[in-house]
Amino acid sequence: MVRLKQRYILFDILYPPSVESSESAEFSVSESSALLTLHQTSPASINHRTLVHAIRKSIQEHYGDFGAGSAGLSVSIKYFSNKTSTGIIRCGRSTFHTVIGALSLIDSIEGNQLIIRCIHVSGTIKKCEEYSIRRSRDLMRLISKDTTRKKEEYVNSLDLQADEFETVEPDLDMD
Amino acid sequence: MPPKPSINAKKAKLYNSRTIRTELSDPSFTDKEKLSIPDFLKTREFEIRSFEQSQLNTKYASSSRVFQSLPRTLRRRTASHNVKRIPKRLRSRAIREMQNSVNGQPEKRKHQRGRQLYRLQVMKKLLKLGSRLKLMRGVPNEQVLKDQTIRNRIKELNTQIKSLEKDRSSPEINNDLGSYDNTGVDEFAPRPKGNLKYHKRQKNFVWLPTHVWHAKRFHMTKQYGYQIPLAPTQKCFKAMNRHNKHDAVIFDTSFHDKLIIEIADNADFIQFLLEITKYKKKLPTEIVDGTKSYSDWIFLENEKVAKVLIYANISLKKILVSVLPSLFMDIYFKIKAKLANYKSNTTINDCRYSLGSIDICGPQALPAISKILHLYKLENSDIQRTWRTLAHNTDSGLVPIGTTLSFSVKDPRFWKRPSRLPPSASDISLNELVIALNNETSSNIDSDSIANLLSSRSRNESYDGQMSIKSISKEFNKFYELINRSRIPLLITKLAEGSWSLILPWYWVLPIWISATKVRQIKVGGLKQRHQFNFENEIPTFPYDFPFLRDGWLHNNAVGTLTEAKFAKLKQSHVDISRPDFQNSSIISPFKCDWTAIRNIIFLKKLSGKTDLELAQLDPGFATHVGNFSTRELKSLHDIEQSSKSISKIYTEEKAPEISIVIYCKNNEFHKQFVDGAYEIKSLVDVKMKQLPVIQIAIRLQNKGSISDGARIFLSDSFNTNPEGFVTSGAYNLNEGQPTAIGLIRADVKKLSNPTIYIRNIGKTTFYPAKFVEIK
Repeated sequence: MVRLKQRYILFDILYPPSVESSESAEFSVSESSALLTLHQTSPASINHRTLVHAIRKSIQEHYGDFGAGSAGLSVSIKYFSNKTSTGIIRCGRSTFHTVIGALSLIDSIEGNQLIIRCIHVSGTIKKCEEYSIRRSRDLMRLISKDTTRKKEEYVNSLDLQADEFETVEPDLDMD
Repeated sequence: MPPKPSINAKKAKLYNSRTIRTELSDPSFTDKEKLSIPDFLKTREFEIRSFEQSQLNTKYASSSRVFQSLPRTLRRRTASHNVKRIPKRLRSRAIREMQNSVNGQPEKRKHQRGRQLYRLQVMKKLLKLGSRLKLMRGVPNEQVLKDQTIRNRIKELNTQIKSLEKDRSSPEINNDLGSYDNTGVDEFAPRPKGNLKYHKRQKNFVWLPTHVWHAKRFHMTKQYGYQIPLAPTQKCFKAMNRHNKHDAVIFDTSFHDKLIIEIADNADFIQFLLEITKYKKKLPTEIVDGTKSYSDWIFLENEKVAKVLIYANISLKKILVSVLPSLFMDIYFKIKAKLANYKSNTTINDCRYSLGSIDICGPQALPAISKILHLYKLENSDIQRTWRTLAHNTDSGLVPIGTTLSFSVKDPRFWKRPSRLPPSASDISLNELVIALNNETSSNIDSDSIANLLSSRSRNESYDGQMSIKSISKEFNKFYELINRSRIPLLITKLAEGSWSLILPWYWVLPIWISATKVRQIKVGGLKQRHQFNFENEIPTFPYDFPFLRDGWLHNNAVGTLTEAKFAKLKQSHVDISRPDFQNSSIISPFKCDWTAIRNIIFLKKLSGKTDLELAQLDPGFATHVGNFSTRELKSLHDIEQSSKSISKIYTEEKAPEISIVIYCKNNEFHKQFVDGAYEIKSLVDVKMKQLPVIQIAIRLQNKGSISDGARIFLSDSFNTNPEGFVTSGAYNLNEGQPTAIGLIRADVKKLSNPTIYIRNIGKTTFYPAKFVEIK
């Protein structure tokens, strides 16, 4: 019996800052701040059902009936976490390009402006998990490292500025 | 034991294991929020942990038996129902899994009944008596081992035990293991008796000391009167190539027969060495002293016989010769005849079953073996220094071939784990060592050790108090007293590039072997691996690549007979005789390298006096005969091919040589003429009597292709020509990354400058262009 092969797509949801709100100002402060802004937690309204619904709608919209028939039916969500906005989708091997395309064309889900990007594609769920673990570790390292450097820089810059300006309360609770 | 889970429960368990837990978000926060850094780190940590947990869950849910958790190389096919195949640490779990019990009680074991039961009981009695005899330090005598019924054997054993009990003062052997020195002085040594349990199996083929170890892990082959390990049971072609490049590979070569020749007079000693080695005028002093060994051709009756290892020591007046077992008888009688001409006292000791050897190949050869050899203190500190340097360097290319060391080591089984030889402040670098080794006055031989190794009495004494593994572990707390009990004399010598040989007494091979296989870098190989390593380094292997010697010739013929028999069994529909070599199979046999046929064809062409072009042009018409119908006139290629078939039937006054080819020798007049093209063949008898001079070549293809054994070598790529040589070993060479071959071709290609040869495999139509290099 020939194996029916699947593809597992690791994706995550990014929330770009909108121009109007104060998010854009915070966004550009530092690298870790930018990362934290992007990787926000997802609202509770985004769950397995709504995600699948959004993906199918996107496939129908951009790839038509043919796309919906071939790719849409075999899409299922294996894992999705609201807190980390990361998930794993399972789809057929021949149609995963369609699914990835549809994912990237999704604009918003349940009124939330978001970007879905595909991080990794693999034939087994184990490898997707492993990749995600590695990536999370890198992200954690990046975020925590940046903080300390940023703080040192800020403290050093304070010393320089102290002579020139009046004493200003250093705003150290910026995250 | 609880009842087995049902099928549905198993599936549900598998399905459940696949769910990945997600961190529950607080239901009060329905909107997206930006996290603080510690919160972010916490969520990511949780996600990583849940991924890892789900991976573990699936692993434990799907694999149900304990042997499935073993690495691939330790899994055995019958491990599912044969508990002995599982490593000991997992055996209790496997037994519990195996228990097919219904109500908590394991089912009853089956046992034999009737006659089978009687036989087993009687055999058990015999073995009990045998072990009792061993404890009394006796060896079962000839009467016990004779081919007779078990009851008679038990009777004989009882008589022997009674006689030993009466006279306990002089035991036959000096240890509990049954080790003794089995040397024949001026006669052949008796075959080793072996353990009473296995004696019957060793009647026709002698077991190596490490036989039981190999039998569990290797395919064995019966050759030369020994049972020799052929290749490991697992696939290891690429793995062995990698081991030869990075690690050490070890072989049990105790089947290489050894002789010790004693010559009392020094002048005769040197004279004898001059005659048998390649040195004709002056022997290097290192070889005579015993500081270097000689591993090269041996000359008997002025002709090359084979490549052997010769170690000579003039102060001890002994010469050790190690030969391949197929040549042993030949060499023994020729040496005996030669020694009869000397006036001084000479003795030949047959040490086939008293000296064993272990070969080690690879860059890690000496570093790995140094982990288990614990040397006794020596007066000559040079030896220790040399050994240390060799053990700490993996690049021993500069060390001269023939470098020999000799020392005594302690029983390695006392050390539970292999331990690295510690470096010392007085160590010298490899370059300094090489300079010292090339210095003629350096000596790395401990005179006591080498004397003990080469003398039968001392070898026997070294077995005194040899302990079994069980007794070692019982008395392990007396470590410091016991390690100094046994002195094992050793000789280590470099045979060839990347290959070292250890020579030690026969019954000490197994203890060293068991410790050696515990070293991680050491892998074990068999005959096939030897062939593979030589082939990958473009070195010919005896006997396959030496068809001009008797053993290679017989091997070639045997291969041909077997292949022909296999071909004859095929169904008619599977036989395609329109293929190139099978079409005219009566002229050149497609089942082997048919040297006789090409010798005949080449010499007949010379006899006809016509060039290749002239022969090819003429159409094969009717055969015309010359003289009185006995000799066919050679006008065309067809005539020559048909005549070659009848050469074997021609009557010659002297006996025609059995082997049709001979290795090119520059001193031979006929060979020189052959290369120049100025040789003469006068008649058909000449064709039969003369041997075709050939040279050994290493072949490499220019483009893609494949070479297999027995492929034909041509000098032009048309179908109308005859082969000029054959490939003796052809395969994919992992060192080169392309197919290479070792073969033999007619010697007059030496005159051509860098010619292109064409290889065609048997039965195939493609010619592959190739280049070759002569192997000297």
